[in-house]
Amino acid sequence: MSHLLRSEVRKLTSTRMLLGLTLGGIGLVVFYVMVIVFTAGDRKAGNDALVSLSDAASVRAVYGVPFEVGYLMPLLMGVFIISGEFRHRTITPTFLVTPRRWRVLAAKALVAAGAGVVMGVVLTAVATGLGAALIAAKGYPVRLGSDGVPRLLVLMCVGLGVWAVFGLGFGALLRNQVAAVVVAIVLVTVVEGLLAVFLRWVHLGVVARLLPAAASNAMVQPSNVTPLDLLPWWAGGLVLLGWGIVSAFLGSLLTLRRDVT
Amino acid sequence: MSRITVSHLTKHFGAVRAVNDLSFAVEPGSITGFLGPNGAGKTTTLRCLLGLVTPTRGEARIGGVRYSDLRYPAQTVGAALESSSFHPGRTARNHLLVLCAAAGLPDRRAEEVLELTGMTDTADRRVGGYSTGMRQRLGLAATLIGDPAVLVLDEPATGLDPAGINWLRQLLRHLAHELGKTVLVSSHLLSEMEHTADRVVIIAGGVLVHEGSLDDLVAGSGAVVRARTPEPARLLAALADAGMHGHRQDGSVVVPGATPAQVGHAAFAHGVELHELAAEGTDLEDVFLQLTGGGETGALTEVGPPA
Ligand SMILES: Nc1ncnc2c1ncn2[C@@H]1O[C@H](COP(=O)(O)OP(=O)(O)OP(=O)(O)O)[C@@H](O)[C@H]1O
Ligand SMILES: [Mg+2]
Repeated sequence: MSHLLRSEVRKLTSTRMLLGLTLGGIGLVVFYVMVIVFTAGDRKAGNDALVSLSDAASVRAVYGVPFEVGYLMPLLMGVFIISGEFRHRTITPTFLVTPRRWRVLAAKALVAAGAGVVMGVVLTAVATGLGAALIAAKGYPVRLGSDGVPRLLVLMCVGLGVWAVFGLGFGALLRNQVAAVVVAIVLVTVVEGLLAVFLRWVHLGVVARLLPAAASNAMVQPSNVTPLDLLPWWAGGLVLLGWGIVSAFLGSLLTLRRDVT
Repeated sequence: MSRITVSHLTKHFGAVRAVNDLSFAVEPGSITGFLGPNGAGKTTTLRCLLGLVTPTRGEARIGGVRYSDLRYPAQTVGAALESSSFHPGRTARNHLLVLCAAAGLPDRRAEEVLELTGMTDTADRRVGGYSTGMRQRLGLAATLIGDPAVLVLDEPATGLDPAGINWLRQLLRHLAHELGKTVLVSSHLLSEMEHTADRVVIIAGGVLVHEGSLDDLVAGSGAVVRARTPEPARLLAALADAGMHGHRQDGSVVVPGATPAQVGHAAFAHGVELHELAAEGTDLEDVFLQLTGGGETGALTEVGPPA
């Protein structure tokens, strides 16, 4: 297995994909942190803003940007790790060298998780560093050691690894790279949002809390003003992990059986 | 030890019967050409052999073992299936290093096969910028990385220039004849294999149409040798002596199912004067077309002997 892990790490580090997605993720995180900080209202000034940096929840929303939007990058990385092999047909030499396919998939899942955590560390550092600097500059407490912020920072580093595994399963299920990318993004952003609205409308909000992006958000608890229907943080973490495992398992199951032509 | 055996291999893709009850064997120490027109089922057969495709029925084994049960696949079988199965953004060296790691081989094997295939100078360029010939060389380098005893190559000559084809031919001969490896090479061109393969396996429509040497192919195909001689009666007697049957036609002697060498030898042994000795209808490409059902009827009557 250590041979295979080395091989998968070499695959990941010998193209520009990981670097490109990490840079893209940094850009995304910087943008959203600035948007939240600069659009936040000032409740001290007497208005009734939904987001105010004097709130612990709003501060968590700033630091939690990797969980709110940054997770798309490890998700895409996971998709690319497997669908890239089908797209460029490198899956043929891969399975020729290791005909026991489950070992390849296990190695990919471990490496995807590891690389996702690395991305998580980078994006969390960027969000926290930039966020804290901006919040402090505006004269609010940065809350880095309180209000569930330390827990959130750790959960984000790990959680982005789970998102990468989720993406891996997705890529294995769909194989076609373009389709997998589009479907993955649309599903976790647009479709999940619409589905959640629908579920609440039919009084199934309990189910809506179990969707993957909602589970991610549960770990941030970004608001105690708006009535967001979220699980407790620990349950959100477990549900997200569940999604990662289910997705990777289904994708692997299909990949183990399918012909490579 | 490293014999390839395909037994009753059948693969259906939905309604498409890509391979049907195909059986043949490939021996070590020789080059076996695996021939058939487009869509004959060559690639499908090779993919079944290599565990990439699950056969509907039957099986293929290498040295008596199924590919997926091989303990060290890369060290046992080297296979190249597509002209390009490389990530365009990865360099040739990195591509080989990925394989080295997965196969548990030392990294220096990458350098060695790069040198063997003449790729050292371009090894650090991204494969996306490679020409077809360079990709073929890199594919070959990848197959040799574990120094396997069995080589399986799907259309390795496609995209190679004449110098490249010649180089490939020398390399395959060296690997089979001097190093004793089992070499199975597919092609849809018989002419490409004519001077390379020791044996051929020809399939069409997913079924076996010929397995054996190229000489057998010629002999069994209705090809004839035409000899002009001032002493036809003596030549016929000489041929009969050597176990061949000729007949007179248009003032010359026609011998079906023989090679010019056999007829020439019979004539020489009996001191029969020959003015002309020629193989007819032995254009292998025609024979191939006839066997695989790809020829036009016009070509068939031209090749076939008068019944
Ligand atoms: N994945 C697949 N799904 C459906 N049909 C397939 C698949 N792969 C191959 N076939 C069909 O099986 C038949 C044999 O194809 P195969 O690729 O094995 O032929 P080939 O001898 O390699 O041809 P070529 O010389 O063109 O490479 C063809 O009719 C092809 O369309
Ligand atoms: Mg083919």
